[in-house]
Amino acid sequence: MKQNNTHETLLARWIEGDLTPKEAEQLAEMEGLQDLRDALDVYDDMELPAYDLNKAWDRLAAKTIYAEKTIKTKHKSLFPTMMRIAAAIALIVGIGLGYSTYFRPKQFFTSAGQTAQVTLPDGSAVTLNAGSGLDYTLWQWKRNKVVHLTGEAFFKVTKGQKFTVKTPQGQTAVLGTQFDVLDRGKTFQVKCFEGKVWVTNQVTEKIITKGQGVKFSGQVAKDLDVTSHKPGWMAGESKFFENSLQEVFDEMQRQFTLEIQSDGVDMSRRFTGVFSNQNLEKALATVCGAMHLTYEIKNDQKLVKISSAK
Amino acid sequence: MKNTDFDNLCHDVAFRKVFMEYGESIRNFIYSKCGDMALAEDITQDTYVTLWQKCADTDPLTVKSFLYKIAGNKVIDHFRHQKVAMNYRTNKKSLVDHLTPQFQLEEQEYKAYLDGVLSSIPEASRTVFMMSRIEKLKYAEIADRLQVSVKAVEKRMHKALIIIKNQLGRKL
Repeated sequence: MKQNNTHETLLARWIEGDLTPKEAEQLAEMEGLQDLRDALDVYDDMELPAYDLNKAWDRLAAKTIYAEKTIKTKHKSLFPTMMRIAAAIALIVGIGLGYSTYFRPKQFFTSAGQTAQVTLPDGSAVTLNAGSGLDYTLWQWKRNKVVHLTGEAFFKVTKGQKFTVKTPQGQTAVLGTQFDVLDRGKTFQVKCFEGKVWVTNQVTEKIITKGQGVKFSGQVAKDLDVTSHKPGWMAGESKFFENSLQEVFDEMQRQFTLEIQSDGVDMSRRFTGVFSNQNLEKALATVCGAMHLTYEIKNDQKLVKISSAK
Repeated sequence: MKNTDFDNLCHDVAFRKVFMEYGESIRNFIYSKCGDMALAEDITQDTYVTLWQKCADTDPLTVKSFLYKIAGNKVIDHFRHQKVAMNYRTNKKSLVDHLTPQFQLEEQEYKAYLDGVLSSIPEASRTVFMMSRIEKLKYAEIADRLQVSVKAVEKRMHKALIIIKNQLGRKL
């Protein structure tokens, strides 16, 4: 095997899978190869306009088989030239836009007390809970249907579409389902309302189906029962199962746009229950009642102080 | 030399067959050089007219590479006479797929971007790249058509890939 100059053909052979083990190793170091592979996928999709061979043949036959003499003529009428100029201008504009729209992240954020609806390129619907963010680039979408999520969102995936939601603590992959993903603080939780979902927190994997959920707190995985058709927050309620008070009040802050201060309260205590997102007094009464706490609403419902009940 | 009527390219059946078989490839080959589809179709016609003129002396077994040679020369001739620098440009059609309309537009723009990247690749490398990726030809087949070594094809392909990779790297 010739050794000289094989590095000048390296990438050509790489895409054909024609590398020596040593070369494969070297290439593992090279940056940008995955992006190149993805760009090649797009090039592979590019088809040149169809060539009307029959029509072209008629034209050719007239000049060859059926012609007494072969006459070469070239006309360049003004109209096609104008069209080419217009195409060139459109291209210059297009190139500038094309890159940025493909790589610019599409970002959607909700602040406290807000929910938002996002439609993904395949028609899947995502509803963001308060204090959450969704982002993706069309590039990543085309590559492997990945979106990034922080916080919590309910996904209604168009049937037959594959989908991966990446969150700081894990990944959720689905096939035409409805599911809720929550990734806040140390909790990573997925609830499946329809279909089937594959979940991983990078250490453990689990497949859950309709009516099931899983909650990862650190390494511990807990099974959840999902009894409703949609997450509570989409129906104006926040549901908790053995969540810490910290998590409960964090969510309350998100839903009501306020600040909660606590004094001498053990925030790691567990709460299981539901509070209403529509009414702050009711919400506080529910949680504090169950946990033997008292509350004080101040500053026009912008500040709440929690302390232990005497 | 001439065998039977069937093999002789000066026969309308045989000549049409050669057109149907390679006409599109030749058009794409020319397009990879000039980026102008209408021009590419015109030059394809001229290429086959020349083949017809030489049909008596053409060995049917080598007609494929002969067509590429004629086409390549015609492109050079065209631009020499035009006194305009050859400038690869793009067509704007793209495939329809399952994306919703607003995203189709963005994908078109991305494809236009990638097509623009092609114009930064030197002609010989660009041609090989397009024959490989768009026409899906193997390097050995490309080498046969262009009458160069497989290694030469691989070198040109490698060059094209390096340029594309670097362009992507810069943007990201």
